Amino acid sequence: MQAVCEGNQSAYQTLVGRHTGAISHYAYRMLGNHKDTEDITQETFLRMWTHSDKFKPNKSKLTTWLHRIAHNLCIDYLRKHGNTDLTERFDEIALTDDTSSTVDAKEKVERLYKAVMGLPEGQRSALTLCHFQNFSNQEAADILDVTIKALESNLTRARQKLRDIVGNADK
Amino acid sequence: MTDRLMALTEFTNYLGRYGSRVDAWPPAERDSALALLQDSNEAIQLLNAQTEVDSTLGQLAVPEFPGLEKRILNQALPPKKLPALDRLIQWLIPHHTPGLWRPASAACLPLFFGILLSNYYSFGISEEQIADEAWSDELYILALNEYDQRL
Repeated sequence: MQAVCEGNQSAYQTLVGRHTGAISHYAYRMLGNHKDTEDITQETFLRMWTHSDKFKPNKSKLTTWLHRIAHNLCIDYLRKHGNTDLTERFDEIALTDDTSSTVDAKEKVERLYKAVMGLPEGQRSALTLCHFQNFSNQEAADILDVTIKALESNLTRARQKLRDIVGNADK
Repeated sequence: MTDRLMALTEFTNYLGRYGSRVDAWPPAERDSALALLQDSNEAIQLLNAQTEVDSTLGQLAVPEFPGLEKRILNQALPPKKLPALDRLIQWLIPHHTPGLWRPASAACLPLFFGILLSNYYSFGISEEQIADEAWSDELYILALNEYDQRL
C-alpha cells in the first residue's frame, strides 16, 4: 500500500488482482445484480487509489479497509436508489452445483434469498460479512464502524428472522 | 427450571451471534453449549433450524464477473498529488534511483543550511576580533619567557 501511495501502478494492479473477488462477492450479496456490483467494485478500487494515504496498516488489515469502502458505497447506492424495491433488481439466483434439483429445494433457496435481500441493510451487511465473507465479529464491527454489541444484535435478529422463515416454510 | 430456561435463552443468543458451527464458538461458550445440547431437545431443535438456514445460504452462489478485473485495471487513475517536499526530491532525484538517496539527501539538508548560515552570518564574531585575540595570546606567552641570554 505504501507503493500505491507513491503512485506505483504495478502495486495497484497486484492489489486489484488479489482483492477483486472478495469485494465483488460482498457487493453482489448486498446489491443482488451484476451491473451494480461491477460499478461498486470498480469505484472501490478507484477510491483505494485516490485515498491510499488514509489507510493505516497499524489499525486494520487492507481487506477490512477495502470492505469498509465497498460497504459505504453500497449503502450510499441503496439509499440513493431506494432500498425498498431491491427485489426488482435481482438477477436470476445463482445456485451451487450441489444444490438439489427438486423444485421444493430451489424454492426454499429462493425464499431464503429474498428474505436475506429483504433484511434491513444493517442486518444484511452483518450477516454477509460474518457468514459469507468469513470475517470475525470484531472485524465485521470494524468494517461497519459499529460496536461489537450492535453488530451481534443485528446478527442475532437476522438469523432469527431467517430461522422463522425456514421454520414456517417447513410447516 | 429457571436455570434451564436461562441457559436456553443464552444458547439462542450465542446461536445468533456465532451461527450453527458450535465447534467454532469461543471456547467458554462452546463448552456450555455442548453441555446444554446433551440435555435439551429445544436447544437441539434450535441448532438444527440454524444449521438448515446456514446450509441453505451456502447454496447461494455468487456468479462470475468475467472482465471485471480487466475493466478495473483499464480505468484511468488520477495522478497522485505528492507533498511538496516529495515532489522536490523526485524532481532532484529521478524515481528509479534506489530508495536510500531520499533519506540521505534529507539528512544532508541541515548540514547544507548550516554551512549557508555560517557563511552568511558572523554571529557577532569578526575576523579582526579573532586576529586580535590570537596576537594577545602570542604576546602573553612571549612575556612569560625569560630573556637572560643576549641574542
